[in-house]
Amino acid sequence: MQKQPAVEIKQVTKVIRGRKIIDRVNFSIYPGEVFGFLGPNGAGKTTTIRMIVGLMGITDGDILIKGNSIKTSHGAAMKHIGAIVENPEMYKYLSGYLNLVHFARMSDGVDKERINEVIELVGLKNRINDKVKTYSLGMRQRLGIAQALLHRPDVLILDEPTNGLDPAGIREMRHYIRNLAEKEGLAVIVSSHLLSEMELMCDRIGVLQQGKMLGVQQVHEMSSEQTQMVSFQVEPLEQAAIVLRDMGSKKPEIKDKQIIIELTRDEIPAAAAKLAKEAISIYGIQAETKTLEDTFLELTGGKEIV
Amino acid sequence: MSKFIGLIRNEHMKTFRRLSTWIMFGIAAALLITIAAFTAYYAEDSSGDWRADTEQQMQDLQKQVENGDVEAAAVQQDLTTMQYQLDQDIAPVQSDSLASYMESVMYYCAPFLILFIAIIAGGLVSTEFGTGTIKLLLTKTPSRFSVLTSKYVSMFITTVIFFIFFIGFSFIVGGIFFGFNGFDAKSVIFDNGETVTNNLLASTMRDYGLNFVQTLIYATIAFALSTIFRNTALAIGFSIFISMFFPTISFILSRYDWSKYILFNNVDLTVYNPGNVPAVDGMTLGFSIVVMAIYFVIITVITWFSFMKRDVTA
Ligand SMILES: Nc1ncnc2c1ncn2[C@@H]1O[C@H](COP(=O)(O)OP(=O)(O)OP(=O)(O)O)[C@@H](O)[C@H]1O
Ligand SMILES: [Mg+2]
Repeated sequence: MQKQPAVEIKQVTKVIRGRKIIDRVNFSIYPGEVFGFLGPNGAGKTTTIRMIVGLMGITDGDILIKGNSIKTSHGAAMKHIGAIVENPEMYKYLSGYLNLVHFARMSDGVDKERINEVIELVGLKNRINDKVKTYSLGMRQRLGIAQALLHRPDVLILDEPTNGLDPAGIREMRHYIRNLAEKEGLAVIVSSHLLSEMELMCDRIGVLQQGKMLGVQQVHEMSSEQTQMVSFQVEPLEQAAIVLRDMGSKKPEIKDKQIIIELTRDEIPAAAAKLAKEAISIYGIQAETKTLEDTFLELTGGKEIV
Repeated sequence: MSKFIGLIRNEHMKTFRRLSTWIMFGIAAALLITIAAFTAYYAEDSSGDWRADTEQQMQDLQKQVENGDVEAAAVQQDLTTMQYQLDQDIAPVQSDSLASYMESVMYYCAPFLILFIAIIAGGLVSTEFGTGTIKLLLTKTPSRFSVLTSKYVSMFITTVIFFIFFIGFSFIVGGIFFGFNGFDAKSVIFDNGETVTNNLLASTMRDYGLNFVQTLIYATIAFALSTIFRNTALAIGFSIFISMFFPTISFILSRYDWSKYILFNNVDLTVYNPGNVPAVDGMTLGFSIVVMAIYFVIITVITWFSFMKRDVTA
């Protein structure tokens, strides 16, 4: 049974000064999932996000937030959205706390307790009374998230949320986002041009290029039919290749002193057992979810991702 | 409604948590105290009998006319005024009095009020675009209409606060320097060949009121430019430039009858006070109010329309 989508993007087109920036983009996002919006620079990710939150008008098509059209019922739609578009810009001369008070006043039912709860959640308690101009980018990012979560939205939209964060910050952000989707049932839209990052955080990824949605791909295909590229670091290589010959659908390849073979999930332990039986030394086995990158490269025509 | 009040409180918080706003109050306070100090320092001794002083002045003037030092017509008004003061027993207003000081403050500080309010109004919308905070402001439930309207209302209230500050602070400073007395000080004015008296404090308050209208119009222009062009420097620069240089331009254009339809020829309503003349003959208070109202409606419609319809790409 399909859940009611949190966000529906219906045949959306955006024309700016005669140029089609977004061309009939169509997709839906469901509660509890993290949707990745992937595309090279200038693909139109930010433009699409701006249309979802009503900052830009829609030339053609419509966007529904929990069934409310952003075109005709801005207030009802925005009630369900928390967003950071591009950078987490705040009032620098105000403290983090007053920034949150500011946005709390713009929403219904956000009291002091809720503000404190959100501060706790993003871990800004110690610095919340300092002026935002003294914050690091990571702290501003957190304040941005706090602001977006303040009114308990159903949809969280983050445009390049890991931009400028250090590895620890990125990991933490990822953890937040997954948590919000899994525990709180939020529908989360994140944009990025880094595939590797998206793979770790998203349930589905939509690939956008030159304003067109090239395809939507499930990230963690755990079904037993789904194949993945598996590499074996083994000795001796040739013998192992012969042993694995009749496994998988294609012939094993020897590359960079390892054997690469396409296997289903269930076939991996079987292959390992077979190698062990033939007294081949196994130094490592890696299942690489290469399929997504392959799909991505296929979709974008092998174009370099910035 | 409560959310709209919340929006206005937000705007106020942003205006009054800015250092620049407090610097303006600081400059204003320094200015008012300086004017008071100068007035006190340069005030002429007035311990004597004002009747004798006035009679002496009249005799001096008459002597100058007889000697041919000054034209009789040039001093006729002064002589008539002084005679009127003697006849009606109205003591001339001393410059070192509360009422006179408050009038000077009103007169000299009117341009500062326009300057301060234009600076605040000119940044209200464009700085939100400049810093990117507009994106957060417009991605909450309030409509663009309420967001912009709350900014305008906040600007209006800020203008009121500044006026109250100037009036209140000049009253206190004036009282401290010159004593809290002389509330019934009357000035004698020559209007259409007739001498009339008016209460100085009352006419000062009236002129504050008229200046408020003028300040609000310039602020509205700064606000409109800030919204339409999303450029703070342009918004502040243009409105201040016009407020400072229009009187000169107006003088050049005054020979053309159509110049009375120019907005800036109609914003200074003090020209309709007794003793003053408007820029172009035949202009009346009612005419100016109608002209201002028409411009106001046009400007606000364009401003709100522009804010509500255009894409936000900040
Ligand atoms: N206001 C505008 N006027 C004209 N063109 C615009 C405008 N805004 C965006 N564009 C164009 O639309 C296209 C998409 O821009 P957008 O910012 O949405 O890309 P993006 O996918 O977010 O890229 P990035 O990864 O660099 O953030 C670009 O070609 C850009 O030049
Ligand atoms: Mg972008």
